[in-house]
Amino acid sequence: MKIDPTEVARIAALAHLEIEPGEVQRMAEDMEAILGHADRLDAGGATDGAVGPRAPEGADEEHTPEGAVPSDGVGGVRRPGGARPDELGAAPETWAPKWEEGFFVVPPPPGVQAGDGGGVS
Amino acid sequence: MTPPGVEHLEVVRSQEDSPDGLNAFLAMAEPEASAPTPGPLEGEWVAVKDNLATLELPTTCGSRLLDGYVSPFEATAVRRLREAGGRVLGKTNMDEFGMGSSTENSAFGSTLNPVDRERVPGGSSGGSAAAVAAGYAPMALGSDTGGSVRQPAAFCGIVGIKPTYGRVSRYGLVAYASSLDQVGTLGRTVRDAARLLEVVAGHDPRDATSIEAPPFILPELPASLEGLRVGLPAEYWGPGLDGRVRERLEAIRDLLADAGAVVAPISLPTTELAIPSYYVLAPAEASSNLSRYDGVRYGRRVEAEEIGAMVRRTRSEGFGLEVKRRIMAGTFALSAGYYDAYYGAAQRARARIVEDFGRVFDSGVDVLLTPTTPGPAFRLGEKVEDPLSMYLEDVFTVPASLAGLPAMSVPAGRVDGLPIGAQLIAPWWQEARMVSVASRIEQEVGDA
Repeated sequence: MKIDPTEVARIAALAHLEIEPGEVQRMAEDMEAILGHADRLDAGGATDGAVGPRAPEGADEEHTPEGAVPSDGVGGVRRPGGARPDELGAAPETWAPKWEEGFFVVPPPPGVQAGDGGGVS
Repeated sequence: MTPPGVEHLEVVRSQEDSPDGLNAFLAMAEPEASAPTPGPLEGEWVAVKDNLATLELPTTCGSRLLDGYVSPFEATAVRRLREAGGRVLGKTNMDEFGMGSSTENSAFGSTLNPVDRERVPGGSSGGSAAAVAAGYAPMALGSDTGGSVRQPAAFCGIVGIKPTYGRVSRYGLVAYASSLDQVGTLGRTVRDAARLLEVVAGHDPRDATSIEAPPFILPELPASLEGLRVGLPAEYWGPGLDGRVRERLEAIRDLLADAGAVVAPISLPTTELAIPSYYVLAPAEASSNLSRYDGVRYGRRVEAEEIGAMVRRTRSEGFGLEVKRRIMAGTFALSAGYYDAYYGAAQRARARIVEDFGRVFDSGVDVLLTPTTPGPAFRLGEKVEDPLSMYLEDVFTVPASLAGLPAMSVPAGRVDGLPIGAQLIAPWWQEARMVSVASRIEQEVGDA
């Protein structure tokens, strides 16, 4: 992966950092070395799924987060059991309690009437 | 009347202020007027890494950006040690925000290794390891994201435990890479490190990743190893390992076999994926976690005429080079067009690493024995200009971190007068088994 000064400037802007002109070349070289090492990652054959420690025997289910339980018991900070679809992987209109015109619909804050354009009563 | 413990505080302070000081502490406690709380750690001093929030002392994470910052709340691990009677001796030096393997990345200067002051103490919990090795405190709290407790423990000749991810609350631990960060313990002995773990472990509703697990209870030590199945991962014993370290590790292997354990080679073929995966995932998470340092909510602010410039200048002047490097690499890995090639690939590799460990433990292996580091402590400045070479120091510690497994380093003897560590990796939640094996190694090796 070739990183040039333009790319450093683009990433620095995204990261809200200022890289001094005298540091740009070194930053480019360092990033290139780090990302070059990451290029060794073999995407082929990798499995999908949540990762993390296995839930202990007798784990208190009340305290384990919902979802993201791999079916093969590989991981999951999470209770053992069957697979569960990842709700957040689906379009929000299929699971949001209320969804209109591309937005979540939430109750108005205290003191604000629904549909009054946000004016404070 | 002299407040309790004041003599010890003065001795440590005077030692650290002298030309022989190690720069192990960024802040030291004031003498307390009251007697320590009764409990299992009653009156015992504990050094605390400076990324764990404390009420009385600043929490800087070794960063200029948080210089002088005092948290309005206390980390659960710190509260638990205090409620058990422990006393915070001071806040220990560290690589900025936990990013480093030598404690040379602290904005407040490097910590020296008490065994050899020309060498690094390891990192990022180098201040905690140096404080324990120097005898300032029998135990310390650290944090381990990719080896930051185990590697400094090995370099300083002490014991370091990274528990299962979720075993100790991360509430009040300043986040670096949240899916990997875990509070760990360091001690002069296996018993000390394990006693501290016993106190700080346990479910905490304030940390959503804390898990209601069966408690860690300090086992009877030393335990019998009769019939214990110890796996030797071939990938950790390869050509990259210093021959002198290999010899020491072979001696440990033999002593476990003599104690009745069944020792056999196994394979973890995904080991080679661990460093490339870690150095995508940890910087990616860091780039997100450290976005909160914007000059508005925490610590330092560098004024500017408009808010965007204020944020950029604050971050650019507040963060050190290594932190900027990781934020940049992480931001790149998460950016449009590169996300799947880097972050996605790293997550898939991580899943394979978890599977690999699961397969080995499911086959009946009780614990794995590996070196903690490829070699003994390196010289100050030796690797600081070469980030990749520094990252490769973590090659043996990162895999267990990615899998969330408990792992620990126990002294395995010395090479040319420098300590080295043996790493034990146990199945999830089996810290007690790991501690039992470590105790036997400690008993046999002593301070060789």
